[in-house]
Amino acid sequence: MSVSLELEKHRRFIVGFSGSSDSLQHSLSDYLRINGIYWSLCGLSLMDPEYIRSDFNEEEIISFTLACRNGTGGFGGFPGFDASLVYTLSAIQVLALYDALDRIEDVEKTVSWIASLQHENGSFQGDHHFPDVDTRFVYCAVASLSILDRLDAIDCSKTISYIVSCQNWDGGFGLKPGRESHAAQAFCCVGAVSILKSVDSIDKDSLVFWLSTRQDTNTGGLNGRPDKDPDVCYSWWVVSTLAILDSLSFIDVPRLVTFVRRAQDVVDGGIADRPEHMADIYHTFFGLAGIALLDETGGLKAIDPTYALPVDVVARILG
Amino acid sequence: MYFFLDKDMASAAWKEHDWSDVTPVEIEIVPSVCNIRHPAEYKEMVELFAAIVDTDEASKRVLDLSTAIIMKNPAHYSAWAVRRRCIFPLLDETASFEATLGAETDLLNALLRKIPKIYQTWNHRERVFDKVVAHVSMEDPASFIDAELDFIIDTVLTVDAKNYHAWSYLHHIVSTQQMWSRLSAVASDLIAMDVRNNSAWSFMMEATKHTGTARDDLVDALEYAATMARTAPNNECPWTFIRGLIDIDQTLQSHPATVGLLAEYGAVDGEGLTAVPALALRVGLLQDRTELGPEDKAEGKGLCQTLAKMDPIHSGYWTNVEGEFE
Repeated sequence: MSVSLELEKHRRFIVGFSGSSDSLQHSLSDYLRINGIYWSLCGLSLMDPEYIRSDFNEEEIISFTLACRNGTGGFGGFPGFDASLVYTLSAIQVLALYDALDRIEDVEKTVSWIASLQHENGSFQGDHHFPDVDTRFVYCAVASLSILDRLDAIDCSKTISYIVSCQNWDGGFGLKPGRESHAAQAFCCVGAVSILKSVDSIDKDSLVFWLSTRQDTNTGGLNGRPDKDPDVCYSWWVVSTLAILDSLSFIDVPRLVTFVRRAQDVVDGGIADRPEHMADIYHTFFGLAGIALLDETGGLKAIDPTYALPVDVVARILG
Repeated sequence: MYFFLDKDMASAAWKEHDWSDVTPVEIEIVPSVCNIRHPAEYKEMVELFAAIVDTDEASKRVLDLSTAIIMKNPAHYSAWAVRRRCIFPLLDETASFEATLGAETDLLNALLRKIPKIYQTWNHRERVFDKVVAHVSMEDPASFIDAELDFIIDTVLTVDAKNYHAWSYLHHIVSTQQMWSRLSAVASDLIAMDVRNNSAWSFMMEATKHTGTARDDLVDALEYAATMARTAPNNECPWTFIRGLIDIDQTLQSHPATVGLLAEYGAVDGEGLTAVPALALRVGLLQDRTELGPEDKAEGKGLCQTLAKMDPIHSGYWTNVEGEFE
């Protein structure tokens, strides 16, 4: 049984989601609004690059994104919030989608702020308040600087060494050395070494085993760590990592695609974390992104597994 | 001595202060993007907050404002950062240390009981822990640490034994306080309740590495894992753990505990039981060899072919690995 991909409904879901203003939950997601904008725009771009201009007001979004930037040069999740690497990357990705990176005034300030967050051992803290490190921040820093073409601002070889130190005994990667392996951290670490042209520095075989065994026999979906429930977002975190490692053939692609397709809300659009659950913008984007990597019949544009941006956009940035 | 959180009082205290000298920063509605219409009270709070976030103000009114925002929206990471700039000076003063710590603990406990998987709250808890644990005003750090451990283990992990944030905070306490010997029992207790708890196995490996990798200790760990593997032979965790132990000490491969376990569950000739993780371990051990003779290669190929049939969802993996044994 083949489940069709309801792209037009997902398009309406994404556009409608931004306008659903009255719920308290929506209001309380202010702190990560710039992430939500990136998920929305990138998801639409995978359907048709023109949608981000036809379905949204480009200038309003660019203005909003720039308003998320504060005196440090970094970006917060919403105007009035502190700058953090997690939101800075999304802001840069949004501007990249609109080919508006040049709208960042005094971009050197942003570069310096990111570089100032690097520790002696190559790790990164997330903001300028406290030295709490996390491999997510490494990816956010490296990807941001790569898009801004300023990787020279940090010590790349120390970053690579730090990432290597985060690979665990089971082949996976955790948020710090020795922490439980988790698929999202695998993406962050492998994505970062990929940008730094050092994928060979990690133990690929043990990681590929760990990633492949995320696939669940019963549902065909992927989980984020052993014996957890499968979740559509791992069709990005796991699959993009395998794609970077040139190892997509190590998983059962048709069964995974079926799992993601079954998690669609075929009535109102959007994709949920798993079948029968409620759709949200995060899982809609990562479900579409996973399908873009896996399923040529999906009708989606190609996505770059390292940058989580359409291939055409990455070519424009890096070209 | 700890204070109990009066939620109504805590969330309304900000209103009792004079804010007339602060011009709220109005949140601009951007219709096509982030059509947020905050409830009126929350809007008032966050617009005041936006006015003070970039200042140095660390007053009681700012602290109370941060409390109100956090209680409405515990993921508001900037409110937590501003809160720290308010409470850290209070924690530095002996006179205000106990009361401040007590109030903070009550707020964190209340929030984490309600929403146990929120990054910003756990992050704050860890920052406060680091701040207070070595403080000169801390008369009894052991008692404070015990209370934190009790909260993680008895309150949070009993509800969700795989809460990643809780395990991460536990790891932080144990590694900064060098408590590995004492806390390795936490992992085994949780594994006894659920052998499939990967977080517990992960912690167990960290405890093993930190409490000493003398052969006797590793053999104890190996025998423990073999016992647990027998309780649920198709569960990957104990087998992956055993492979991790062998990575530390290759001689464990030929230890009777390993050999016996593999004979019991890693048979392909109909002589014993066959569990997928046991065969996977056999393949992994072959892959780890620096040199493979013709018999090793034949064994590897055979195992991969069997696994591709027994474990069809991962047949892509086994077929690819079979190629390594050509």
